[in-house]
Amino acid sequence: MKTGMKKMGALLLCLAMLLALLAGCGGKETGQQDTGSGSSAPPEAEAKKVVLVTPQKLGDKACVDLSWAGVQAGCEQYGWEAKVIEAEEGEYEDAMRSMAEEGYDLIIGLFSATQDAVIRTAPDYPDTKFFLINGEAEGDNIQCAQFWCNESSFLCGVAAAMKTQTGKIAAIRGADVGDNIRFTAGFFHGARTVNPDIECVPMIAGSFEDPTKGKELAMLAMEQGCDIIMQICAKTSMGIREALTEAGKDKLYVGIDTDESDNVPGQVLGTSATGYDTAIINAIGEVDSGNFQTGIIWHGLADGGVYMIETDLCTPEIMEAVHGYEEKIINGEIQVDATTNW
Amino acid sequence: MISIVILAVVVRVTTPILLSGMGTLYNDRAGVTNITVEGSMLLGAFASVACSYFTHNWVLSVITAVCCGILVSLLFSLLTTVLSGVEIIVGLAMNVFLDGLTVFLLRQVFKQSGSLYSPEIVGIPTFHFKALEGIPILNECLNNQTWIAYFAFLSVILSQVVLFHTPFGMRVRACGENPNAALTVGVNVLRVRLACNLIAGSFCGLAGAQLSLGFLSLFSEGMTVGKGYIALAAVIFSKGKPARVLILSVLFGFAEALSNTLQLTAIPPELALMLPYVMVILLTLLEFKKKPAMHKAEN
Amino acid sequence: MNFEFRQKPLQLRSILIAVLTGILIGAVIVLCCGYDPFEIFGALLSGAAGSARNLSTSLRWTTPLLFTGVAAALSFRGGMFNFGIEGQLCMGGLASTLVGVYGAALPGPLLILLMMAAGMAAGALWAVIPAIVRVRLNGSEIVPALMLNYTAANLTEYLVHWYFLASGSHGDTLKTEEIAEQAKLAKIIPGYQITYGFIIGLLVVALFWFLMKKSRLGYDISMSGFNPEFAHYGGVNVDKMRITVMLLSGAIAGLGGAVEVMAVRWRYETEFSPAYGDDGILAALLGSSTPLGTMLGAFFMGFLKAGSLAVERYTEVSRAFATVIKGTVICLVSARMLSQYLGVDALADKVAGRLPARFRKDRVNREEGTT
Repeated sequence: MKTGMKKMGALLLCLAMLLALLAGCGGKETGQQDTGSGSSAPPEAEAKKVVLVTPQKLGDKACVDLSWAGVQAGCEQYGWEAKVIEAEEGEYEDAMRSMAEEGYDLIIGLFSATQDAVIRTAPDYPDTKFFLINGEAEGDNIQCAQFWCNESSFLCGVAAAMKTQTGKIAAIRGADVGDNIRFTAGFFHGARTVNPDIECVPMIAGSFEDPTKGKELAMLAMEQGCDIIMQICAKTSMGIREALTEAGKDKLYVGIDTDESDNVPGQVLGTSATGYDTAIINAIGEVDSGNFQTGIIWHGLADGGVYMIETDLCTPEIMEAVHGYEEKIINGEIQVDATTNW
Repeated sequence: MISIVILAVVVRVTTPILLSGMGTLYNDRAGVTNITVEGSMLLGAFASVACSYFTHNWVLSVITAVCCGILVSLLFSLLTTVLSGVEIIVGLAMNVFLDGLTVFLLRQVFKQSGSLYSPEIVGIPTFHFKALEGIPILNECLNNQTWIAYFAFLSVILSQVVLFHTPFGMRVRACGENPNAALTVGVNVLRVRLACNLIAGSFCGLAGAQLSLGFLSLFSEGMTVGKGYIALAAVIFSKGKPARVLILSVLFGFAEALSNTLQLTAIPPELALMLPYVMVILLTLLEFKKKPAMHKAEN
Repeated sequence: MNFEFRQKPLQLRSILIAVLTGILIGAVIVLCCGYDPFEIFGALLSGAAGSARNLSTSLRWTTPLLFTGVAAALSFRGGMFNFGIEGQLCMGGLASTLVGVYGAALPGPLLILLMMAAGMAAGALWAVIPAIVRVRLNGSEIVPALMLNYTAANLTEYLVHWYFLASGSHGDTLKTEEIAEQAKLAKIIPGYQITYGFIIGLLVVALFWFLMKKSRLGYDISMSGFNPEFAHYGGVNVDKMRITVMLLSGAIAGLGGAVEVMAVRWRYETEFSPAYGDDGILAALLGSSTPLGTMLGAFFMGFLKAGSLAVERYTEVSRAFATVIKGTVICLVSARMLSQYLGVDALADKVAGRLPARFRKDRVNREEGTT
């Protein structure tokens, strides 16, 4: 008993000392250190600040990197300061609240993993603007950007169907979630429109950050006879690319989001690009000029929010077909599938 | 659906489990409860990728990985024997420490988060035998694997010989079955256990190198995903026999390889991913009987 | 392999040395990478407790650890090693979420109680297999518990994905619907993160104390863990105690999952637990499985987590550096002889005015080869 009491007393003493230490540096808000990028604003006007909260890590050479590039470009253009927070489950709300407390002007939530955090944080900070990508939230200070990525992947599907030698194509997605499904659905729809007999192989990697899985699945797909593989899985696609490089020039790759034309030299058919960066730059511009639009805004082929980037592998024949379908989608003749239909 | 090509995947995926399992078998036989397998593999994986990034030389990288594994074992020995820590606690804590260390170094040294993947990293080359290309099963199993894979499977025979047909092996088994008796006969129990620990560490480091440089040349945070613990399970079920470690490792490797192939069927991917772990649980329920195993000794 | 686990009572000096050495090693590592240790530790401290907001964030991270810590501590006291707390937490979280979603018609207090019960039941259920393996089959409970962790992560993902998915798009995590409004625990001070879940956590610690110090069951559990033979001769059914301890431990872990859902998350989503289970085990080890010690250990872990997140946000050092410190501290906490080697023992003896004979007695123990 006595040693227990001694232990307890000593531990409490330590805690008390620690708290006294903290009282000394207490009250200090943690906003002192800034990791801002260069701002060209005049010293009198305090630069506006934007933070990107992302559930997936940087360095994926895909959507996250693209979004961050957009943030940095927007800050360069408008003289803002940028920050990025890579957060994990359960931390998004914390992170957003901290940033709002520090007076950040725009908080960008990437993907609907951050949706809850935006919905819960935004009402408490009416002066802060929130921009949510690939999610849905409503509020006077919230703008959401959703993308009809199935429209651009439809065009890629058309190209794939015309280019394939084996009549079998695959799409490897990270998870069974909103935009992943849209990408896949559009891709297969486009392919089937050109060739109703084409075999479409959907696969799920289960992770957006597992290149090993990507390589295994790509090898599996090729062994099944697929000669064109579309990636919808961020960092996991690194493995897909390696598998394709090893397989040789007759196996082709379709990328998404950012321009992937150089990612597998000589083997990229096209990219179903998504304008995350443009949307972000626009949002920063809107907050800067005080015209921040609220509500959920869907971007598609019509407004250039999504588009297909072609490469040399797309023959003039293919491009003609693609442009034809593009027109049909824009004027509403074709409704592209947005959900699983396999 | 499941073609014979899966055998190649099985061999590749089994190798880290088998290798670290074989190393840990020495510890098991000697009576050392070293559960730092997971952390050791992870550090080996990271160190080999880091070394390859800077030196572009896979030989040096593998050596680095082995050294790291040995270092982990040394640290474990220090903490448990000299400083009298409890083995399980120290093992658990070291796994946490090593996981944190690899992530920390990844972020601070390479400025990357999540994973390190760069064309500068040179992987371990695979061996391609033209002669095997025609032969069905042998081609899948033996062709296009790294030397580490061959070594892993050979180590089974090696360990069988060493543990049961050499004086060293006899000393190891004596330490595990009855350390006090061994002491009286003049066996330096501490030294034998240290030797086994170092063997285990080097094997785990090597397994880590295979994991990160053997297939895809990259390091991913936490890329061992419980493989170390599965290897541990293989050793526990093996009741000290190398052949059983082999069978169990192959079983788990097969389950993991299968979980990818099952993607092509209607089976949901999450259930497929559960396969290796559920298999271990089922084995646990089937393996153990009421009386304790013979060679379990107190430290 | 010998997985028999008897936790030896820890000395205060071991804990202090371990914490100080851990901090020192953290500082050295940070220095080697070219950062200023004072700046980093300053950010750590102020992120943990530098303002009322940060303090409440620290307590938010402490709350689940109170549950997992007590769960781990209880299992240690009973001589079992519940490695499966992570999985039990997830199962409890999912079970209580489902009750919270589908029981939306029920009044608040009743719903909350049902959610907690569901969480506890699911957690206890998930602890059955390791308990049986140890007691009936005489195997180690560590490996099946570990495997069940991974199984739980995949199983909950499967269930959410195919049966309980919320409508609408989901980003990269799959999630269920939100639980009913009346089941959400209120914040203690509006605007801050800290909720009544923290109070429930403290209650659980208090109940743990009461159980171990004041009840017959607690005594039986302690004896079974400390000296099973003695307990057996004293008439205690050691097997039954072990199973009880594992199930109770699982139940508390499940309750932790339930409270995390009710207090903070308001739904179950994949990647539910950022190592709450592991941190709870570490907290219990740090506090040598005593109620107060575990609570302080949980506070330490929670503050460390909040601080490390702040460090990651405001400096270039990642949160992993806190993990490094955690691992170091626990390793060294267990290494009792460290204090002897550092000369602290001798110093302490001198200070306490004891005879050097005590020092000699420790040496004899070491030669015998016992640890």
